Order: sequence, then C-alpha cells, then structure tokens
Amino acid sequence: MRQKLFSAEVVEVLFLWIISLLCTFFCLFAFGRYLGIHEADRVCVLIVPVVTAALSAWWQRPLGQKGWTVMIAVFVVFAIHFVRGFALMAEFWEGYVQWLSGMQAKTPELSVVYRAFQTVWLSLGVTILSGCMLRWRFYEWLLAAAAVILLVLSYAEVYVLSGPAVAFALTFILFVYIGVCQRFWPKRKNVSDVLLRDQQYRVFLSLVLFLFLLILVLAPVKETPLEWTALKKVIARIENALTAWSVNYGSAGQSFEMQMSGLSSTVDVNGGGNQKGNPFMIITCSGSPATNLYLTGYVWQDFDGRQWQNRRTILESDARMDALETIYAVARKGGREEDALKYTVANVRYQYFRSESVFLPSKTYSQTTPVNLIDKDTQMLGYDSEYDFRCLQLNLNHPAFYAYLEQEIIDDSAVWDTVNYYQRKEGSIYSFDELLAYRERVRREYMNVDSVSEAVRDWENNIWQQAQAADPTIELTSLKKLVLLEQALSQFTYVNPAGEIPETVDSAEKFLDYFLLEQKEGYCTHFATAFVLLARDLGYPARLCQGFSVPTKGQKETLCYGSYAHAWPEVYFEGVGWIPFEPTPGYMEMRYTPWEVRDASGTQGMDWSGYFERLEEKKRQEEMEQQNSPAEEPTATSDPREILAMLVRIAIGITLVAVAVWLAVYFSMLQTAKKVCGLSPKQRLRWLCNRNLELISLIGFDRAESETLTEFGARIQALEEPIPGALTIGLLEQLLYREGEVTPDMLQTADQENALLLDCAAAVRGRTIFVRWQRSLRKQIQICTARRNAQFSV
Amino acid sequence: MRSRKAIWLILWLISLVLVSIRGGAVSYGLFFFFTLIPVISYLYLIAVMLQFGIYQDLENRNMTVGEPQEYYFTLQNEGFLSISSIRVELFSNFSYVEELPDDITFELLPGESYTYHTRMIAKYRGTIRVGVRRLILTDFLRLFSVKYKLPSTLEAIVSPRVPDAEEMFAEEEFSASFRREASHKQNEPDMTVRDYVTGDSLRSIHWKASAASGKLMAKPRTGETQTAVSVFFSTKRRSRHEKEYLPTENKILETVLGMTQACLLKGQSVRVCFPKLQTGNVVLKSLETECYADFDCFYDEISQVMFGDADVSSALTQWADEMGQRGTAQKMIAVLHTLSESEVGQLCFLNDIGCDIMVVLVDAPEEVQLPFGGVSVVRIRGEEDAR
Repeated sequence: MRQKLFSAEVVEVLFLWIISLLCTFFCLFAFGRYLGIHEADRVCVLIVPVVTAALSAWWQRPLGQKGWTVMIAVFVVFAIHFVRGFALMAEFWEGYVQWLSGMQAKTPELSVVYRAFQTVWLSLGVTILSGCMLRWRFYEWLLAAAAVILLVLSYAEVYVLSGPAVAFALTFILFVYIGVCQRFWPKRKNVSDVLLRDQQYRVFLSLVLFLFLLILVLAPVKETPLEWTALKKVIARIENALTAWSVNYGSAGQSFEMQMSGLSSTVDVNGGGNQKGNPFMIITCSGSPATNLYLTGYVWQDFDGRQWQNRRTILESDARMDALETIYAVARKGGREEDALKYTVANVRYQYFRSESVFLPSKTYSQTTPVNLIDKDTQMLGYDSEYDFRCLQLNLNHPAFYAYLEQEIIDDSAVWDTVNYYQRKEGSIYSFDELLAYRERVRREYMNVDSVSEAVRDWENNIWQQAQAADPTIELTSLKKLVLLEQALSQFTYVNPAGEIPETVDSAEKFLDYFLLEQKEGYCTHFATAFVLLARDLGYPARLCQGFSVPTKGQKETLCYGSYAHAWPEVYFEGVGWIPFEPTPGYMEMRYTPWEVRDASGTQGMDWSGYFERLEEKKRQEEMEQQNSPAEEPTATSDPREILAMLVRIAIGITLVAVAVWLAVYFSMLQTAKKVCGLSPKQRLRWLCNRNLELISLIGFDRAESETLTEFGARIQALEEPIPGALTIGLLEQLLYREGEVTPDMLQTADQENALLLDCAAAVRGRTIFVRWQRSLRKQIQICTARRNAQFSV
Repeated sequence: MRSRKAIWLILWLISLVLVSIRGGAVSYGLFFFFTLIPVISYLYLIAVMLQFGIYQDLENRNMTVGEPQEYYFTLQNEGFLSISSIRVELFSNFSYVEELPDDITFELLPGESYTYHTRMIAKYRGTIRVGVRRLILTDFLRLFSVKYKLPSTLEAIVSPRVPDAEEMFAEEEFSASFRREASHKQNEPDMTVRDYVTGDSLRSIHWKASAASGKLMAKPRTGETQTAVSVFFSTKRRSRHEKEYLPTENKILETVLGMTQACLLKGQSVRVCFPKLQTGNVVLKSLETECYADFDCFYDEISQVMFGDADVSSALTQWADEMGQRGTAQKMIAVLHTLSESEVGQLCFLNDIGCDIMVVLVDAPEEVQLPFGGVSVVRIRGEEDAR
C-alpha cells in the first residue's frame, strides 16, 4: 500500500518554492546591481511564489496550466503597491525609470516603492517561469543551459558572477540534472502522474540539495588560483620525512667520520678525496658574521708519526672557559672588545649528514641542547637535527688583536670574576681557581712534546734568519715564530690526495723530517699536524682540530658542504685562550678576514676602558636601589572578559561534545532497535533472554561455572526476596535444548520479565547508564515493532 | 555507472586544473562542486541505509524441493528522504521466487513501501539460505552505490522431492527392469490379517484392511520376506562447493526415493543401503521398507542422510558381500556419482555371479567408460530443473 508523506498539492508548492528559491537568488546575486533590489526584498521575492502556489493548492488547481491563478495572486500584490503610486503616476514612472537607470530619482522618497516594484517584477517573472517548469521540462533544461552559459562567460570574465550566484546556479543545474537522471532511469515505482512523481522525488531530495548549496555558498572563493598550500606542506613534510629517513638510516646521509677529508676516524694521514653534492648543514646567523666560521667537531691529542690518538670533543665547559679567557684578556688590557672580538649567534641545522658530535666554534660561550636527534642514547644527530650557539669571533691577523696575544700575562682574579659576572646570563660562572686548573689540564693534555731533529731545527733557524734579514727590526717572539712557521708552511704545495707516507716514518720526529724536508706537499691534515708539533716544540700547548671551515662572512645563511671539511691547528696562549692558525696553503684568506678597528665606541661587546671604575659605581648604585625600592606589586589579574570568553568557549566545546556523544548513542540505539525488530522470533527470544541475564547479573546474581540453567533458576526462585528472571532462564533452557517453534507468548513473557528486571535493577543499582540505555532501547524497539505492525496490518 | 564515474572524474580533474590556473567564483565553485559530489552522495547513501526497512518471511521453513511455499517480503522507506534506487538481490543458486526476478530495482518516496506476496521454490535439498541476499543502494546521480548485506537471512530446511512413478519409468532400462515379472522370490501375494493387539509393530498394520474394516488390522509375522530390490547409493560428497555437490546429492536422493516409491507401489519390498561414518569407521547402514505404508518413515530417514567423506568402495564391498550371503535380491541397483576401478570390479563380480544389477550414474564425469562388464548403466544429470 502506497503511503505519501505529503499530499500532491503540498508537493507542488514545495517544488515551486525550491525552483523559485534557486532562480531568484541566482538572479539577485548575479544581476542584483542592475535590478536595484534591496536586500530585505529578497524575502518578499520568495514569498510571492509561495503565496501564489499556496492559493493555487487551496483552489486545487495545478499551476502552470492555469496561468490566470498566478496572475491573480501577483495582481493582488501589484495592486497594493500601485495604489500608493496612483496619485503620483506620471512623476512616479519618470522617477522610476531614472532610478532604474541608476540616476538620482526625482522623488527620492518613492525609492522604497520603486524597489517594491522591482520586487514585484522579479517575483512575477520567477513565478511564471517556475510555474512553467512545473509542467514543461523544456523550461528547466533551457534555464540550466542558460546558467551553464553564464558560468562559462563568468570564467572568461565577460560577465563576472559572485560566489553565491555561482553556488545557486550550480545547485539549480544539479536539481535539473537529477530530474534528467530520474527520467531515464528504469526502476520500479508507483507512477500515476509522471510529472508529479518527479516533483515528489526531487522535493524529498531537497535536504541533500540544501546541504550542497550551504557548503557551496560557504566555501571560500579567492581571486587568485588555488595554491595548494596545505597539500604542498603535506608533500614537503612527507619529502622531509623520507629524506630524513634516508639520511639517518640509509645511504643518502654521510657520516662525518667518513667525510673528513677522506680520512678514517683515526685520522690516518693517508687517503684523501673531496666530497660535494647535498649540503651537510645549513648555518643561519643573526646578522652578518664578521668572519668565516670554523666549526670544530673533534680535537686530537697525540701523534705517533702515522696517526693521531685520543680523539675528543670540546666540552661545553671548556669552550666557555676558552671564550671567557679571551674576554678576560681584553678586559685585563682595558681595551674595547670590538677591537678584538665580535659576538655571533647562529643556528646549525643538519641536512644530508649524521654525526655523534656537534660542530661548534672553539670560543662558544653558550649553546642549546640539540633537538631532533636520531638516537638520544648515542646522541647521534641526523637530518633536521639542530642547535644554536653564541660564540666569539676573533679579529685575527689584526695588529690590535695580536697586542692581546703579546701582552704580559698578569692574572687578576678580580678581573676574571668581573668578566664571569658580566657573562653570567649566557652560562656558567667559573672561579679563578677553576681557570687555573683548566690551564693546568690544557698544558698536561696538549703539551706532549716530541723531539725534533736537528735538520728540522736548522730548517726553522733558516726561517728565522730569513725573517730577520727581511726586517732587521723584527722581534722574534714566540708568537712571531709561530706566524713565520705558518707562513713557511703555507708556501708548500696543497695536494689531495697525497701520496703514501713511507713505512719508515713511525714517529713524530720522522714525520716532520719527511714532510718538512722531503715531501713538502700534502693536504690540510699534514700541515696542521706539522704546525701542532712545531708549536709544541716552541713550548705552546697545541692541538689538531677537525671540522668544517664555512664561508659565512657577510652572509645570513650558508650551506656547508662536505668539501668544507678541514683540519687546522690551534695553539693555547695562556691568559688569552686557544688561537687558531692556518698553515694550509690556499686557506689564509678563508681564515684571516680582519675587520677595521674604529675610533668611535663599538656596537658590539664591552668597552673595558675605565670599566672597573664604572662597575664599582654601578654596584654601589644597585645596592642603593635595592635598599630603597619598594616590594614589587603582584601582576594584575587577567581581564575578566577574557576569562568569561574562555569559559564560554569551554562551555560550548563541552556542549558540542556532549551533543555529539548523545547523537552517537541515539543513532546506535536506533540501529540496534531496527536490528532487533528484523530478527526472527527465535533470534529475538535469545536476544531478550541474554539481555535479561545481563540484568540479573547486574542485580548481583551470576551463574556459577558448574551450575546448570535449571540449578541457577532454582537458586533464584529460592531467594528470600525473589527477583524476576526465573521464567527467562526457563525460556532459555527451552530454546537451547528443546525443539519447537517460538511462540508469541514466549516472547511476551521474556519481554515482561525484561521490564520487571529493569525496574529491579534500577531499585538495586540505581538508574545507572546501562539501565537507562536498556530502558530507552526497549522503548525504541516497541516503537519500531508497533510501526512495523501498523504498516503491515493490511 | 562506470562511464558516469569516469565522466565525473574527468570533470573533477578539469575543475582541478581550472582552479589551479585561475581564481574566481566559477573556478572555486566548480572545484568544490565536483569534489562535494561523492561526499554528499555517500552521506545520502548512509542516511538511506539508516532509514529503509526490509522484512521477509516464509510461511514454513520446512520445504520440499520443487514445492512452492508462501513467501513475502516488504521494502519500506521509513525516513524523509527519497530513496533513489534499491536493488534487491535474492538467493538464486538453490531457490527462486515466483513473479520476482533475481534482481529488481525499486524507488521509494518517504512513507512508501512495496510488498510482495508470492511463492518460493527450493531447487535442492539441504539447509539453504533463501530470500533476499543483499541490497544495493545507488545515489540520485547513479554514480555511487553501496552494498548492504542483510544481517540475518532466512534459512529453510529443504527435503528432497519424490519423483512420480511415470518420471522414474521414463527411462527404458528402468521400465524394462521393473516391468519384468519375477518368477521366483516374490513376496507372498496373499496375506492374512488379524486384529491389531497392543505390542504389534506399527509397521505390521495393514492400512487397507483397517480402513475397510473400520478397525486396526495387522499382518501376522510370516517370517522374513526376501527383499525384492536392494538399492545402494553413495554418500560421498563430491566437492567442497555447494553449487557442485548439492545438485548431485539432491538427484541421488530423489532417484532413491523415486525408485523406492515405485517399487513399493508395485508391492516390492526395498532394502536401501548407504555408507555411513561411525566413530571413524565406515559402516553400511540399511533401511528396510516392506510396504508403501512404511514409505513416510523411510522418507524421513532418507531426508536426514548426511553426505560426507565415507568411503564408497568399502561400503560397496560390504553390500556386495551381504547380498551374496543373503541370496541375491530380485534387483540390485547402485546409485553412484563416480566409479573407481575397484567399484567397477565389485559390480562386475556381482553381475558375474548372476545378480541382476543396474548402475545409475548421477553427474558422473565423462571419463567413466560405459557400459562395462555387461552391467546396465543409466546416466542422469543432477542439474535437471526442478521447475
């Protein structure tokens, strides 16, 4: 038996209204500025078709076939407005035409009437069109084709449609297309009137269309093409993750130890090779660094003639101590820091590279803990690992700087403490005793002096003599000698890879003989090794550093490649700190990029000239201020409006979550009820019995492991205060173990027991969530069953 | 539907290109429009799944092959959306429904329903699922569909049918065998009857005489009668697939039942044997039927026969031995679906010792060479339509 949700007349009205809605709003949004329709009148435009259709439905005349019913309804509305304008007819029409063409109307007070007229015309047009579309599909398709053409013209920017206009046009096209699909779709349906059937079908899909329309209207529209930012981000993230994986765990990333100028981790002087390709690191500096950065990864202690031994990383505390000692040297002399030092802040981000070591300049006075490690246990850094540091850059090769190196070392613990105090915000503070202990350790670790042959001494003496010959006034201080050695070595030839070192070279002395007197060529490690040995021979602690020499001068961001791997020597000047040298041919310009010292006060660092006097004064002032200043007031509380807004947001969030949960539970219950209604009698009885058993268990009676159903039922019946459930157990037993059909009486009994058990459970346990849910489910099942029985009672 | 989906995909890709090239309301509108279509369609289908109802029932779950049973099913739209298309697929391998094609598509407006009161006919015996198998819901644009499998389906217990005697005698061999008058080893044509006393077996009741006299009359025990016909049938399942084994098993049982009925109607007692697995061993189960009054009990027994992995050869050997010990029956019939060499040997042996033996092969493979050893063989197909 066919049952309809609405009568045919109501469906027609709804169908008419849907079409009118789509057409009208399309016209308004597309041609609004030409129609001069006030926004509020849009509602009126919608009312006219509905009123017309309602009148027609009341008279039970189908629309479209009887156009005069449309005209009557429109005439009524038209007449109301016309009466008002009757008295001013001529002026009215003149003013109306002017208003329509965008000119200032003669009688501005009639502009409301003009708008009403426009509303009437538009309503009339839409109503007639909608009415025609009720009966003739041709108009539907024609209008849909017109909408398509308009969309094409709009895309070609011949006539620009707004976002809502496009949304309404597309929804209308979809509405028409659904009708076309329906027409050519063979399926079984009760059809007495094809058109009416089509209208009903589409009217009862209007909710779907409305959802479509709503999303389209609310969808963002931009004048620029879609940039796929989110997608690009996702792709970039995926690419990043894949790259990180291949670098960290695959073969795409290079381990530092394998890349250090082609040497193995033991820094054997044999071997060599350059590496290029993907960048190892990205160094981003704040501002433009004054010099290039030499990032040290490892330092080496002892050389046995063929290999360096005792590799270590520079401790954070040692690096800070080194930086402080250099600042201490400047402060002791009482000069400006900018003459000798500049401060640099930089970020290092690893790329196609992994290493267990961080790479930092020697004079790093603070650093952050590396993040995005591959392995936190081994502290292995890989792709996207990064850390920040602050370091000192030295004005190497400038006379002003060398003045600090050559100053007489007179330690002053007060100056040291002052320097520490000044730098306290950047890191730890070290006492003067700790400084002395540090110096002692440096001497102990890096002064392993190997003997030097006479031939090498002669070679050195030759260099001194040549220097003196060139400048008789030169004073051959130790520093000067180091500089001369550096220059002499830089005259050698750089080759990479270098040849094999003879097997006979098995000590530092023999290495020096071979390298300085015989081979005279090699790559960075050779030169650095020779310089370290010679410096130690001159009485200075010296060490070999491995890392990267990065051309960062003047650049904010620099890519560091494998080819930047380098080795260089550093010499310890007591009271100043570790000072790097560059004996490798071709690297002098990389290392030495001194900046000019200005007479005006520097923009970086301290001016230690007269600082101590100023410091004393400052301390006195601070003490006085601390004694006089009142206690700090507590910070003001938060704005109450903000708190209220936050509470409102929280409340809305909780409400939405609660509604979502309730909806989920409700739909779940509906589904269960529907499922239960569709079960066979046997299955339904079993389901009921299981529910009843759950309730019995909730009340507090469970069937023991070895207990049969009969025993369980008897136990329940034997209770002092019996509970319902014995009948359920009997039914279940019958269901499981005996043949026979399930009768309606059995189902009714189980159902009644269910109701009683729910009451009992509520009395015993209270109205728990489970009990409430079961009660609601029971109601839903009853509704579903009653509906089903009512439908099929014929 | 595939072509429509392809068109939609092409249009979507075009909109993707348009929106990547140029901005504006039309580009973005088209892109969102085509992107939303599958989303809205599937939301619609989910809503439809929640709002339709299907109900079906059989008058009697115990059916007989070929005999129609009252069946109805109802499809109802219980919601407020039009249901564009519901295609109903029925179980059709082993049953069919009159006046209803195997798949039929409906459209339902809110509140609308379709009810079919019709009849269902089972094709083969066994416990089979019948009625509606699943529903396929399609959206209003005929683009996307979801398949909805019914959570609970109807099950029917189908008993085999008993073919008519005329149907059984259609085969020349059968008719020749059964029309031949036995010159000896006939059952006694005349039988005295007496009043029924408490304790007599129900089988001994002579129903005709009882009906004529108006009181229960029983046949006196006259000693063991010699079986006129002995039938052996194979209970070995030929395949794991229902479509392959059901028709064969159905036909075997029908043949046995038909022959037995035909013999009983002719006053010939029948002994039916078949292999059965019992505690891991193959035993030869026998069912004796002396008169037509016993046919109902016999039918129930045969309907319950389970096919499985019982070894036919050893059972056939047992049957052959039994027939040899008892003295040969008037007629021996073996209903099989395969013939191995040992089985052929056994049958030839029986023929050689003078037994009147006939083999009925049901769905036997073509490789079986027929005839053999002078044994008469009849081939029948299990796929004969029960309609």
